[in-house]
Amino acid sequence: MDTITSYLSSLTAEHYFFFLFAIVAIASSLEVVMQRSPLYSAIALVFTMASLAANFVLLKAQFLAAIQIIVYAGAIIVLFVFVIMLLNVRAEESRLDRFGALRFIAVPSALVLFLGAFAAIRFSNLDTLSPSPASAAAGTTERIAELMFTKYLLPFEAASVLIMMAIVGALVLASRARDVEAEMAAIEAPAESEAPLPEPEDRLEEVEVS
Amino acid sequence: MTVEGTGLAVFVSTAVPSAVDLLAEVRDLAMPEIIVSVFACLALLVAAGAGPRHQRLAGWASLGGTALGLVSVVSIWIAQGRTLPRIGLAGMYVVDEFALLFKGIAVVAAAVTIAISMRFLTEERTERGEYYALVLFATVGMMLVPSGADLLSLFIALELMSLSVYVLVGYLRGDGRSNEAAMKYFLLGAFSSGVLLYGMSLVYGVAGSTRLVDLAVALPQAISANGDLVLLVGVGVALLVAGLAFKVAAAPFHVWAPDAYEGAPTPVTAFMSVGVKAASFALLVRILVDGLGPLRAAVESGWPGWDLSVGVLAAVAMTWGNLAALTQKNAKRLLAYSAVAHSGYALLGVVAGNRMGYTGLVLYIVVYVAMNFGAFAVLIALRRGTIAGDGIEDFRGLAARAPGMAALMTVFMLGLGGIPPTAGFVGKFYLFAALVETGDRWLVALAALALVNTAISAYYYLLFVKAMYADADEAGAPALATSPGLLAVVVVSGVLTLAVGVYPQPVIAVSGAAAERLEPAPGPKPTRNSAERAAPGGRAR
Amino acid sequence: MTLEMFLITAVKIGLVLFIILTAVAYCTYMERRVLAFIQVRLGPNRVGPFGLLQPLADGIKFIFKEDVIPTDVTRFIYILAPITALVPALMTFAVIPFGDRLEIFGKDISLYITGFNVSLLFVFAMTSLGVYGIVLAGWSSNSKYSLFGGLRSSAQMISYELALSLSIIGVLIQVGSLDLVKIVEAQSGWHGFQWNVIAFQPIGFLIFFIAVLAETNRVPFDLPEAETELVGGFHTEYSSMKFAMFFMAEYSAMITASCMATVLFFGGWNGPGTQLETIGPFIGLAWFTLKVFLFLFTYIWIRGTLPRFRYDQLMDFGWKLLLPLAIFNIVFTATWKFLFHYYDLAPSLPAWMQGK
Repeated sequence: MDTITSYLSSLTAEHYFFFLFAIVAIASSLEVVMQRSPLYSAIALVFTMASLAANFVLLKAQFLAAIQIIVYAGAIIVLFVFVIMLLNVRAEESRLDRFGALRFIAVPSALVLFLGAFAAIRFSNLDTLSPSPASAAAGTTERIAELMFTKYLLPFEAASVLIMMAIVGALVLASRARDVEAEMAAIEAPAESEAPLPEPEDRLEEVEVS
Repeated sequence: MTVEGTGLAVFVSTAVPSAVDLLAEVRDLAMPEIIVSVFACLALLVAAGAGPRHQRLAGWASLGGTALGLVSVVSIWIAQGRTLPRIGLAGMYVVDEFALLFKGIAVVAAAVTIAISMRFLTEERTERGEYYALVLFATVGMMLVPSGADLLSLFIALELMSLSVYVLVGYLRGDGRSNEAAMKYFLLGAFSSGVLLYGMSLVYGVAGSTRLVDLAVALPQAISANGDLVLLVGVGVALLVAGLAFKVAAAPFHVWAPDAYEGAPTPVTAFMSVGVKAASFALLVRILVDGLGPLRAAVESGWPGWDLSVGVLAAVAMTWGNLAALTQKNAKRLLAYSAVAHSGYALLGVVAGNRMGYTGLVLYIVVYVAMNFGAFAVLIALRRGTIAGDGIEDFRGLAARAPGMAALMTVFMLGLGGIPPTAGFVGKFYLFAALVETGDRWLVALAALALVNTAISAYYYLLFVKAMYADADEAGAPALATSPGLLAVVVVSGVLTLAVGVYPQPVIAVSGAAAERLEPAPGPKPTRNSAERAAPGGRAR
Repeated sequence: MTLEMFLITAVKIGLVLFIILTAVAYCTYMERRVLAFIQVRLGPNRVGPFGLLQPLADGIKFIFKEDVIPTDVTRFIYILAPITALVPALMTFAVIPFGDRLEIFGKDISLYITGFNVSLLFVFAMTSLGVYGIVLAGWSSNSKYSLFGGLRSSAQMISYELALSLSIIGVLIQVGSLDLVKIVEAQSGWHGFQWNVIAFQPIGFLIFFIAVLAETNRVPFDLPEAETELVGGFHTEYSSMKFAMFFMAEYSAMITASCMATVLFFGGWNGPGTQLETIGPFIGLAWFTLKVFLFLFTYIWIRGTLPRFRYDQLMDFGWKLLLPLAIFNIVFTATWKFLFHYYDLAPSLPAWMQGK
């Protein structure tokens, strides 16, 4: 009892906030996975992102926190919701039964992985590790900008090539099949169409995939 | 006005000179990647500007980009060969012979893929310039991977490569198999990237740095200072090995490979089985040998190093791949399982961990490029109109219809089976000899297992030969769909497969040079001298 | 954090909430009167002198109206949506600097609730969350009008958010900070007239203002609630206080937008007279209020004079005009900043202009 009291008294306000947001993050990410309705999943994901952002603030990375909310909660998940609404995706029926046998492999594997990681972190004395030299200025915009264009120039540029590629890829996968296939077919002989145009429903699904 | 003068001005005045230095480094070291990226964008512009009938122009532009990229790679090797290895871009990027060789492989793989794609896409009625641009984007990723000196740049390069290939796999949108393949490949690929990233984060947490050189120093130090950490590092390394095994398609982490190989457009399958595989092996070597080299054997008593798990992976991959390939009817699926088995063989080089093993690994990948591209090019030539051309029965009577093509296909099959006098034999010989050379009982047993596997694999490779020469001609089979580029690929691959098999010294010399800087496993065995004796080209550069 | 600081902050929060909610109420009054004036009518003028008590009457009406929840709605989200709309809209006021520091009872008190180094991004984060209220309301109402309103709204807000965020980058490059207080302080030169809109972000301001109109679903971008097509848009199925909350969210978003325009481009509290002893901060506060009021008036003015966009026009305008223009503005500002701060050309500019 005494240890608990002394432990509690050693906690600062930051600890309480950390635990609060950590619990919210874990609970909402569980909800993301376990929820059958995709819309509820998306909403739960917003909560996950928001509580992660709050924990970033506790780590003095305000810039990252704000960007996390703007980019993930404010843009990406809005697009998820948009697509869910546009396609009128219904809650998924209980189709997991098909994987009944796999469940007996999947759940223990997940448990082993979780327990392994948990034990590794719990039973290792992490105090011996030298903490990374984080200063008060570590999370500021200026510092991030400087690192991004000096130390992390290569990953930054590679990431921008990656995003460029992703845009092209999304267009390739999602653009209507009318363009080349139809035009080529019209120009050349109207021969056998071995690659039929996808049904309207398929097209919608492809939009979602991309 | 107080704000104006301080923060930004100071930042600019300090950052700009170092930015100029950075640009100089970029110019010296990363020119091949820049060239290929620029040509990828150029291909996009051409695709946008050219009409639907002239999309092939984008293909020619991309081909030009790969040619220039290859020139750039070679010229870096020639001009800066004495100053290598050079580490630049704030420790994110390394240029050494290993990186340059794999960049060369990537560029060549892209060029060959583009060459064999042109006719294929016309047959599929889906020739669009974006296809070529995506191949080039994947190539940029494949060129950045072997140069990665930091977990961060390695991961982003890997993702750049993988994402492009996911899209390419699903390129045939009207084809259900292509869509399914892309979906499976994407889901499992994303999952394996997550596993890899989790491993990286744990390792980073212990080492406090993402640089590979720092990892090699910090991890053993941290463990020797605090034995408890071995568990944390162990979980991290295990996740890394699992993620890497996914990427190189080593059984039992290969489940995506057969579906993805079968469903993808055949040129993309060739690209995956060669370019992506080579880059994945470069990633594996960079992380395991450069970054986690000291953890190869047990650091703390009672805990195994990663050599055990990689050895088991190699054994399982060889056996599983070959046994599963025996029953396949679809040629692409069969080659997928054969690729799994070949991943197992190549891993043997990492397991052996001596200079001969590394040389064998690089050599094996180089010759595998030639053999596999040849085989896939023949497969593509069989694709005609309404005929999918990817079953083994499509090869029936090929010897009568196209004797030259059949002869070259025989060469490729013999090469993949590792039968002399082909290049495949030289590669396998090096890998198996490296295992025997270590003298370790278990590794010698592994070599024996690999030999047995080679015998098994000969059966299904010879099935193709039997179909081509012994079986009757298909009634009314159409002529092959060839193009100058495809023919060139087949002929050059065939000549290389034979030439390397007969006179392997130059390729051995190059591979030895590329493998020279990889840290060999420490051990009581005098591996070094014997390796140099066995690999005379090792220091001949 | 001492108790005293805690109390001061609590008082500030209460005061700001009170003022903002009152301002929201009187915005509706202003909107109706100004629109009536533009359309040559009278507008509400019965409750109290000049109809000044009309907002109060409206509020009482909202509270006492029956709260109808249609039968087939997704209840949880239906109730959550108005809250989701209102809370982020009010949270933005936590960081908006209404005025400079002030000395009361011997204590140095800042005229903003809190300020930190990325307060600008905080405002954007909160406004970007506001879209959820609309989208969720549209989805959960189980009505086609609501759904279309919600869909239009999310597409519109995402499209214009890009132009909006890019339009302020010019200001950021010029000031070199994401802290709203520092952005205001940087505009204090020229006797309180060195506003960013004058030097040198007129394009940025134009894009900002247009994008903000779209973000707040105001005319001419009010497609999410276009009465003639969608009855009431996303809030068709709402009534009573829930409807009122959407209303309040929309008007507080308008006030936020006006405040941000003031802070980023019009010098915030800066203006002649703010340097004076004692009453300086109060004059600053007055300047701030005046500027915000003028922006609100402009909003209403635009509503009274412009027709609504068609949907494809809206998208074309956002993606093909505003976005490239915003990028051009960034490149322009960055080049300017680079030449004049890295090479320090600014001091030699007057001499150069005189031909020396």
